[in-house]
Parts: sequence; C-alpha cells; structure tokens
Amino acid sequence: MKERIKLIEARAPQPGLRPKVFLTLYGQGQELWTCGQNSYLNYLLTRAGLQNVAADFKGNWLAYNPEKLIADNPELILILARNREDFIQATKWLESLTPLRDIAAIKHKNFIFLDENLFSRFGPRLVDACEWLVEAVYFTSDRRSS
Amino acid sequence: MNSQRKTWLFPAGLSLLTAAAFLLSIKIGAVSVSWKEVWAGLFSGGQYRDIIVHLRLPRAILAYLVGAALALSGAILQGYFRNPLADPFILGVSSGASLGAVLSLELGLTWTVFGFSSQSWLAFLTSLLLVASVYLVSENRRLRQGESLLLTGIAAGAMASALTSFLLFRRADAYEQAVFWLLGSFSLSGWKEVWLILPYFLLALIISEYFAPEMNLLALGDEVAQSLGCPVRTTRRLFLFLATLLASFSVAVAGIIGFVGLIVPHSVRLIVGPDHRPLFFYSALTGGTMLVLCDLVARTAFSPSEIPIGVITAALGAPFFIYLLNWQGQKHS
Repeated sequence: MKERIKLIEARAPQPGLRPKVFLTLYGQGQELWTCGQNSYLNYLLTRAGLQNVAADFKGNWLAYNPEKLIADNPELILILARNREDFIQATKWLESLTPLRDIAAIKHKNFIFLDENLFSRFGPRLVDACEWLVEAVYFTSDRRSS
Repeated sequence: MNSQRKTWLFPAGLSLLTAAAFLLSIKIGAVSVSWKEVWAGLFSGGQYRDIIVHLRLPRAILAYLVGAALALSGAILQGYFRNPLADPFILGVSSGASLGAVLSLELGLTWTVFGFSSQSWLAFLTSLLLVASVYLVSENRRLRQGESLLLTGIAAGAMASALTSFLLFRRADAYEQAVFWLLGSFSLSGWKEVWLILPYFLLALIISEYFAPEMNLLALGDEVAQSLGCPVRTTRRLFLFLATLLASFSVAVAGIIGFVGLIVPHSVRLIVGPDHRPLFFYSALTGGTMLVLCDLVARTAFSPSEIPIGVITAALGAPFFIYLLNWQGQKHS
C-alpha cells in the first residue's frame, strides 16, 4: 500500500503547478459546503497534488462564502454526491448561478464526480479513492462525464 | 414640542441608517474591496463586478424585502388579533412551510420553477393551505373569531410539526438537508428572487396602507367597528390573506427567520403610535433595514463561513427589544 501511495505522489504534479480545486458537497441546501484544513478530504486532495482553495480555513466542513470562491477562481470543481444523477443536478445548479459564471471551472465545465460512498468511508479504500482521483484529474480529458 | 420633534427625527434617522446599511452591505464582505472598486463595480465593471452587482447588491435588497415583508406581516397580525405577541408565524405558517419542505424531500422532488426549488414551492403552498384550512375550520365556531382562529392555528401547527417529525424520523438521511433549508440563508440569492417577490410585496404594502383606517376601527372591537360602518368580515379576511402571503413567500425565499416580525412592529408602535397607516409603513421600512444589518453580521462575523441569519435576528433583536421596553417604561413613570 505504501508503494501505491508513492506512485500516486509520483504521478501528481510538483508544487507550484498544482491545480486549484474546490470540493463541494451537494444536497445541503443553498450553500457551498466544502472541506477545510483539518478534514481528511483536504489531506486526500493534497496527497493527490491538488490545491484546495479552502485549505486556509481551519475546521472540517464549512459553508464557503461565494465571494471567496469568485476571488479564488478554481480551475476544477469536485462534487461529492451520492450518485451520478445528483452530480448532474449539482453541475446544473452551479451553472445556473449568475454570480459564479466567470469562475474558470464553471465557465469550462470542469466538474468531477466523487462517489460519496468511496470518498467518505475511512479505510484502505481511501487509497483507491486517491488513485482514482489522480486518474480522473490528470489523465482524463472529458471532465464532465468522468 | 417634543412630539413635533419626533415626527421628522424618526424618518430622518431611519433613512440615514438604511443608506448606511446598504452602503456597508456592498462594501464589506469576505473579499475586501475598496470604495473606488465598489464604485467601479457598480457603474463601469472591473474585476469585482460580479461580487458587487450579482452577489452583494441583490442579497442586500432581498434581505430588505424579506425583513420588510415579515415586519409588515407581524404588524398586520398584531392589529388583527389585538395582541402584541402575535407574529407572522402564529397561525402555523412556519410549521406549514417546514412540512412542505420535508414533503418535497420525502417525495424526492427536484424540479425548479422560476429559479425556485421544489422545496420552496411546496413550503409556500403548504403554508398557504394550512392557514386557509385553519380559517375555514375556525369560521363556523361560536367562539370569538380571533380566539378561535388563534387556537385552531396552534393546533394545526402542532399537527403539521408532528407530521414533519414523523417524515424526518422515517428518513434520517433527509434530516440534514431539511434542517439547513429551514435555518434559512440569503447565500447565493440573486436578482431573480428579488424580481419575483418585489411586486407582491409592493402590492401588499399598498393594499394594507389603503385599508389601514379599517384596521384602526377593528382595534375598537368587531361590534364597534361594524357599527361604525367597517365591513368586518371582508376586512379581516383581506388582512389575514395579506399577512399569510407575506410570511409564506418570506419563508420560501429565506427560510424561517424569527423575531423580526415580532419586535419590529412592536418597537415602531412605541415610536409612531397606534395609527396603523404610519405603523404599517414604518414597520416595513424598519424591518427591511434591520434585516440588511443582521445579514451583514451573519455573513461577516465568522467569515468565510456564514451563520444562519435567524441566530443574529434573535441574538441582537432580543436585548434591543428589552432595552426599548424599559426605556418606554421609564418615560411613562
């Protein structure tokens, strides 16, 4: 398993080239819930060579301020959802929000579906999740359907 | 002398406070923007245009409209029941709305009409339906109408809450969603919400201003009002409908925000007196301003995270209200 983690780290980009991402949890009302500095998901994102825009904020889950998101301008939005239908709903919802229309990820429809079942259960499967994430982010071209 | 000074002091103070509330709301936020950039964002574009024009401004205006609607609704119901404890949710609007929101989750509805989710629509419709049935049931009673309505409203509200709890109990996974929805927030609300509720709010305000003299007559008691030529039944029906409509769309847009509808009309009555025409008008304006200020605190106090606005309205509103009551008591003694 340690080798698998090493491999993940080898495939992830160098610091400085790391893409800015925003992870959000769909289905919690009209808020942009995300994971802060102390969450294991933030750790997972860091391991996969991604730069979580909410990483500066202490805490586990927090409702992120949309102004900050506009200023952060992430290139990629990861959506944690129960199933693909929820994920499609979430992308439609994000695209329907006028104030967020100029965020790079939304403009270019760069959304990635994270299976809640795989990503929010602790255990050895988190390594699977991490591998899967690296694959989806760096080695898949069609983002929306990934 | 004293009362004359007051007649312009309150409107002037309120206008200044309102202007300050709006200016601060578009200036202050999680992302710091200078006054120059605010100006540019409003009138010529620039890097902060989306934040100023599509986030902060519509949010402030929507908070204003919801605050004004809740305060007006509270002012109407306090006059209707001749009871200063009445508030927009006394007849079960909030329990009806909660039931609607949970029902929408239970049925798995996910459609959106006019930019509003199925939760908002169902909350709006169930609260209107609940109050309508309360009204119809209580109308045939021999009790004095106000009391009968109040008691039936409380019973129906309890029933709706029981049903809500039952549905939540059956589906634990929907619980969080429902709670977040009910706590309410103006986060990410935009112009479409503003345009959707603005005409109804203005219409309700104009109608209640027009019929305010009838409400003054109702304050004397139904029999006296009737003998003075006021069509009691029609007037009561109209005001009840207006108050429910105002409360329901506020809940549908922003969730359940307590306290504004109770303390604002009450405080305004201490300042402008019992005449319902100025009372309705100034309650609406004061409620709007108060909610803009509360929303400003709600989104900046723990930035970048937001706290539910209902927490702020109660936390700031309650002490102020107690202070005001004491101040009034001292003046009379």
